[in-house]
Amino acid sequence: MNIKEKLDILSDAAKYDASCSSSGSSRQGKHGNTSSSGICHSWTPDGRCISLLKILLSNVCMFDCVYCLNRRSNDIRRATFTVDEIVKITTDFYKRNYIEGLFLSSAVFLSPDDTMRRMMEVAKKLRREKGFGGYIHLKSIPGASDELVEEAGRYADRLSVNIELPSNVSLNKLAPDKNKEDIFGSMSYIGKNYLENKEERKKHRKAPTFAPAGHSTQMIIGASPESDRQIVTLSSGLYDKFALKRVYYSAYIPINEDVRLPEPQIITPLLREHRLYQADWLLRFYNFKADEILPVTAPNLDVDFDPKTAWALRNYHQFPIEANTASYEWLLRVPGIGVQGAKRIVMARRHTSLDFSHLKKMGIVMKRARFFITCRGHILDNLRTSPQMIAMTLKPKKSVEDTQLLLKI
Amino acid sequence: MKNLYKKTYQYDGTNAGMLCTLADAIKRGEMPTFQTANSVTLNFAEHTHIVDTDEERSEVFLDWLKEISDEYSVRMLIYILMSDCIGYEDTLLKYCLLLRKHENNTMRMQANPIVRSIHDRCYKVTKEIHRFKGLIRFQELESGKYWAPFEPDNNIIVALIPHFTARFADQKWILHDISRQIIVTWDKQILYNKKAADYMKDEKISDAEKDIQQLWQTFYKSITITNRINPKLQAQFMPRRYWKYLPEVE
Repeated sequence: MNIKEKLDILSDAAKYDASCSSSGSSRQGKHGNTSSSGICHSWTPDGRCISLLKILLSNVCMFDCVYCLNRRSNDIRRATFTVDEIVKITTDFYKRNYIEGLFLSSAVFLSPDDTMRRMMEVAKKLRREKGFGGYIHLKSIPGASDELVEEAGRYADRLSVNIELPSNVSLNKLAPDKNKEDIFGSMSYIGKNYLENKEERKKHRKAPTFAPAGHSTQMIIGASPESDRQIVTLSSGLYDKFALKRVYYSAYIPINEDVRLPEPQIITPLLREHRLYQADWLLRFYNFKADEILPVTAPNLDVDFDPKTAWALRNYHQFPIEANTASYEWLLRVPGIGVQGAKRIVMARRHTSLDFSHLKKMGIVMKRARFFITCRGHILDNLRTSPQMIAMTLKPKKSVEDTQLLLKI
Repeated sequence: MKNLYKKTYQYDGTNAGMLCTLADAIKRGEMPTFQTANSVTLNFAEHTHIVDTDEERSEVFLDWLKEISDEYSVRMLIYILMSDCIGYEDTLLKYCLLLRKHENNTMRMQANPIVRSIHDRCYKVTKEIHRFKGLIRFQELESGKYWAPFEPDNNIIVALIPHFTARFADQKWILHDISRQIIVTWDKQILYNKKAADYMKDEKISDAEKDIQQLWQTFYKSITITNRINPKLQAQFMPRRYWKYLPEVE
């Protein structure tokens, strides 16, 4: 099999991995460097960005996870890259500025340790022999030995362990060869090392790095029955407990037929994935708690409204707030005001008293914000109203599914 | 009587010329209309002030702005100068006057229409710079150099130099702005060349290049999730006018 065929098979097999981030690390190599802001190099016709060469080392798998294309029992073309082949493609692509670096994952062939060792060797060769300074994200194989993970972390910018499914019950049912202990064990080992290394590098700036861009995980949404509340609560716990940088959500795409899976005609809407990312953003950048976004009384995210608007409508008694005096934290909670907008308001109001025309020019989305703020004590157009009226005004006229796809970032 | 006819300042259309024009307007305390040398003149000659372009004086003017305000505010101005500023001189003059009045507080006046306009325009330029850090595509030449043709909206080639110098220090490369015919080359040092055609005339694409491009196209094709095709979203991130030099989208 030539290298082109292998690349065809092993990038096709990697395409459902959501992560594409190349940010958070800053490294200067002999050949190449990483930019801490991250850079996208292209966008595929599905609208997703390409930042990294995203491939599997091998799709020969000893596991039989129900939802996965590469499961043992599927009759598909199988291929395995050699270490040198991956090193060559990576450097050839990098030199031409096609990519920021490599995202290497793999099916589990032979054993978790054998797989992990081969992946680690790719990263080692790139760094040691090629002086490669580009971004490297390695997927850590649950059950691989700590020594191998530790060594991989020395060469990689990011490590990740896929949690796969949002609950233990679903994991047992859909990924019978994987177990929770291995997954959380790896995650906590990486999290601990990452935090320790960060501390160490504060003391000794030249200390070797361990996955300086942190670690992340991914779960499949819609292949199992968990509610959004369960999912977001789980994410919130992962961020707190394991110091994760990102949780990725991947709307389930039916690939295999199996009684344990939802009927193939039941398609998880991309909108659900999008709403989960919005909720995730509220956790990480807007100081929201999982309980606020999804209380027991509303365990699933609203189809018609983004999670912040939905929260504000449920808590309408706390609004409106005054743009000229409200705290930064409260501005962040107003639908239509983002992190940039809140910062601009705080800066601008020191120099002038703000009115609605100012806010509009500063990039505040007045369509939503107007119901929740006052300027100099006034409500826009004396628009006194109720949460029910607001909900009616803001409810999307077009099918949400069509428009939301455009908004997904 | 003095303000009855608005003065017209005429300059040669270059950035240095415009900076001298702004300097003159501030010095004389006037709010003129602006004109470049090749535009049609309708004003009476006695109301037209013809500005001499002087590189050194334009530098002195920028230094003065830095002194009265701060590095950041002037850097925004420099980014804006990479865009086509003809027709925008008036806002730039008002911006300079704001800098003089409010010094380094200016950029915090986020509600001020001039500051907003400067911000937005600057954002367009820096956004394009960031985009091209990703969208630049090098091709290997027979001479072993890596050549990247591109056509940005703004004249951003200089702003890309630090990024590619740090990234590909061990590689000989050429950035080539096709529409402006400007070339920047790197071989352990930066050279700026205005005669792009002369420089490139003996260069040829290497034989191996086609194979690598095909490999890249293979990757691009198989990484796409075909049951989620969404060309509108794709074009939103990667506008079609930038596709010409991307080997993956053909």
